[in-house]
Amino acid sequence: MDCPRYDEAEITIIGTGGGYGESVVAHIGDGEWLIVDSCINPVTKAPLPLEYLEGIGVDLKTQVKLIICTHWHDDHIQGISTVLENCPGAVFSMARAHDLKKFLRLVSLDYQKLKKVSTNSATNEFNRCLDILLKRKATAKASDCDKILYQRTVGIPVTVAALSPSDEAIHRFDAEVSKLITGFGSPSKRIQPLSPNAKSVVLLIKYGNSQRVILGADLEVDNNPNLGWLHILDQSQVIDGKASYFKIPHHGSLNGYHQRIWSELLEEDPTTSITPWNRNNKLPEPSMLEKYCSHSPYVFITSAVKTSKPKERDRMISKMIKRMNYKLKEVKYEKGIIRSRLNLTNSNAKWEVKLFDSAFHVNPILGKLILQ
Amino acid sequence: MNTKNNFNWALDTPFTQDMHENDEDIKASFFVLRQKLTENYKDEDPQEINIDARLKSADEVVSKMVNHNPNYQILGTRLYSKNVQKWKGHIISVDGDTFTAKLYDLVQKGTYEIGEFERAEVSQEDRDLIEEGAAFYWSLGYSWREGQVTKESVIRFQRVLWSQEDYDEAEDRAENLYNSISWE
Repeated sequence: MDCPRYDEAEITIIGTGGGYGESVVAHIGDGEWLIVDSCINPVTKAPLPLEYLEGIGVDLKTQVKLIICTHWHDDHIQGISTVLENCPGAVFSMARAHDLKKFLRLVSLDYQKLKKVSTNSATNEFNRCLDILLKRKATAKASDCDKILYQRTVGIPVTVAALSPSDEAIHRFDAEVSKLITGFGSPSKRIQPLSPNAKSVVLLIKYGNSQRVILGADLEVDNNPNLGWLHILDQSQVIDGKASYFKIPHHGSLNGYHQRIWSELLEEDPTTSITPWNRNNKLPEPSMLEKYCSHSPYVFITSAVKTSKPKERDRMISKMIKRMNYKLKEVKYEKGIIRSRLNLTNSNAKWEVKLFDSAFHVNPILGKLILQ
Repeated sequence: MNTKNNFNWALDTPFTQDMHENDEDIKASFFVLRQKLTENYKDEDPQEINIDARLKSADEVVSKMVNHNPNYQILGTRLYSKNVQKWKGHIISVDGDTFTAKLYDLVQKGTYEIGEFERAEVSQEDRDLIEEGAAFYWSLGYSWREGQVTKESVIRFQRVLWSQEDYDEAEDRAENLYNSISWE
């Protein structure tokens, strides 16, 4: 794999099959990069965004400018503390409750619990990030709707802005934090924030005056116009043009879909990408793939949605599990990369997509996927 | 007879010590009591007995010790067990009488699994701990009781002790984070 030119935009989606996180690495021109979320190889524990960037010769210490944690969810930020540790020049950004003291109290209480039970959870990753920031005495950036997270005005101008979470979502998060602290519960039990998707950070990347990218994270559509995608559609102040690239939110689920996103926020035939979800419920459903393909001929996915099977083990153990009537489903690791590049100096240029490992183009084989 | 006295604890010998201290597969749940048979009884140093220390089962240990040293007499045996597979689980949802958990294989590390369990499989004392976010250990194995072998599935919930010190440590950390990290 090669490095993009300084005047080429790149959006690379890294998926793991739907159980070990997902990540986006974006070249924002002039050799500068941002990393959104993180994912790991479950065997080696290596963070895949770092593996990708090092593989194309990016200097992690100086070229990574921004690391964004889109939401506090176990399967989206695995390895993010290692990412932050290896990118000392990057600003760390995430959504947080307005009452910072209370928020930090909650995360510290949960961290203290987790130190005793040793688990690899989002809380662990997130707290390790806080420890790194503490050690560096660094400044972090809270992600709020319409907030500029990064801007460059020289060379190839670029702006990275958060489109969510909305004020209402943050306000509800504040109330939730209070409730979670009050209902601290058994020290053996992990703190489970409600609806982490509602606080998801959707990102808008503006390259110069013409090219726009929207990365949808896990934000869903809510009936409340002050939440979710309706808030972005009706109240965003930073959207000033349609996007030619869209990372479809929430694993292509129905909850992340709204017709208005496609008609009002996106150009005709945008380049789109999806990362699947392969746990108990499987996303995207074939009907949603059909819907997305009706909006664009350029729908790409990092790996297929598959039926889960039991893990391969010693025959004697597998027999015992079967005889005792346990049904275990392995969450398989399947790496897939969708790399999209765009020449920023050519106003007629289209995104050029290259696929690696398990990633594939959905449109040509849609019929086959629906029949499965 | 004082069974807690190390002198009588037959597994606390150089050739069995590794087994019950380090080998998780064999739970040290049986003991052999040594009886003094004569007034001029002299202990035979177990180190002089040429026995392969990596014996696979406690049963073999007992029979070899008895065969090699007549001063050892089995006075009683209890249950012992061998695990063949172990997981650590975190409950991700509870639905009536069943719960679903994320399972991390402690033997063959790497990918995780999703499994469904019945509430009835959990011991009475642990049932109150069944809730989203709870952690447990699940092991499959065999147990031997008086010569009878049975398959065994054991779920044990993790009970974490939480002290005032833990709470204070968390509060101190939160305070330190608040004072030291700036947010834009």
